[in-house]
Amino acid sequence: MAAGVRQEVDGSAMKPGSHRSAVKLGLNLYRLLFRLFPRAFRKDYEGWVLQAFRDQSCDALERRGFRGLMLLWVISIPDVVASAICERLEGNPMNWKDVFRSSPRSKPVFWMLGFTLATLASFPLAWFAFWALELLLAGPSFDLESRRLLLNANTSLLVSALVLGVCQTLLVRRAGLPAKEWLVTTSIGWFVGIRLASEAWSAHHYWAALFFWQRLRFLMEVSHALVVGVIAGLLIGFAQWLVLRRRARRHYLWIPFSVAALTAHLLAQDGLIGSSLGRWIPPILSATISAAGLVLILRDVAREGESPSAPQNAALAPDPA
Amino acid sequence: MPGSSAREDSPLRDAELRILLVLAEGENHGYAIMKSIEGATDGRYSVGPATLYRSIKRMLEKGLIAEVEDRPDPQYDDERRRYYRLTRVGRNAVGAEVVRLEGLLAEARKQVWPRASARKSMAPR
Repeated sequence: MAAGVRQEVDGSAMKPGSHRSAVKLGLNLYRLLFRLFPRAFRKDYEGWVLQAFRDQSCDALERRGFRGLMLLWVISIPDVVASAICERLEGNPMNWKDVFRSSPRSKPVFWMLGFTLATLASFPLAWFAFWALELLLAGPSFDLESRRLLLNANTSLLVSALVLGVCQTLLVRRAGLPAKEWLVTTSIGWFVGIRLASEAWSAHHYWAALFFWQRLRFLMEVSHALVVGVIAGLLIGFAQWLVLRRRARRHYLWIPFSVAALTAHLLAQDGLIGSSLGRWIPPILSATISAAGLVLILRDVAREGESPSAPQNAALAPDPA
Repeated sequence: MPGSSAREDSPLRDAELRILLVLAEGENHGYAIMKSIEGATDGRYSVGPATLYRSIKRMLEKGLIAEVEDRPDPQYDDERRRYYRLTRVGRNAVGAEVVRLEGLLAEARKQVWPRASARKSMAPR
């Protein structure tokens, strides 16, 4: 049925304006994502999987046109990513101790999971820390209004910055980075970054409301997420980059990752307003992007006592091919 | 219940069961299996290439399916393809899974529609 299109993709009869390049683009994207699978699986099945995906793309194009192809991508991308993660976890049975004992070099997937969990845990922990501080300073008899007067938004932000710094430091020191430096730079970067970003938010909200008004509310929200995400991401990323720059070869990647993480967080938050997922998806997204960035940057950095040989786990390691 | 121990040892996943059901009809290659699954469910269920070959890998390891060494009639054979067939172990696993699902369905009917289920069991045969 799809023989005609398949023949085009294979390189023969090409009609002008056909979607051959779209099929090829999809195939290349799929091939890239397929690299998430363990090397052994790729070696045995890459050809077969890619061939099946190419046949599927040609069929979708022939039956439903470009829209069908897009729909296939939407279905196939989560399929390949989720399958790769499952395959990796099956190959390395989960041991929770590994999550907090591994390094980006020895077990990158576990370390990434640990860093994500530590970052996520910092939010409720910061809330408890702030509550405990209020109780300590004001005593249980103090009413809510008096507590609010005693501890303002800056104190809350400082507490959250310190808790985030501590949580991340627990994992980052396993990657061979100095704990104190990471704690200080993360806390200061988070405090300053979020403080300035919230000022920028107020200013941007005023101007954006004038420019876009209600008719282009979507644009206003997107531009708001971009402005705030870029400012916060740049400042936090810059602070942490100061620690990375002397220790990791790929240190220059960190600021773009930080900006991407914060911007994705805010975009997801705006997109999921009113949804029960809105509380969980944005922090998970930003923590995962940050963790992936750090693995990429720190996988060459050996911590004390770790041999400088090749990584034990092939996860996320570059493919010699 | 027959097959319950086999289930505990190596649970069949949804995609695996569907692949085994397709292969129960005869040997086939990966893409044709995907299309058969989609066709059998009127497009309500589909298996992506990554899930398909992950399942195939698992089932090959468990001995539920095997690669076909003798290629089909050259007239129908596509040399680019790798064909798979159901093994005896695979056929037993499908049977056990079907029995297990039937038992589960009967159990569910009893829980959800107890009266209808009792009436059905009292009805003259």
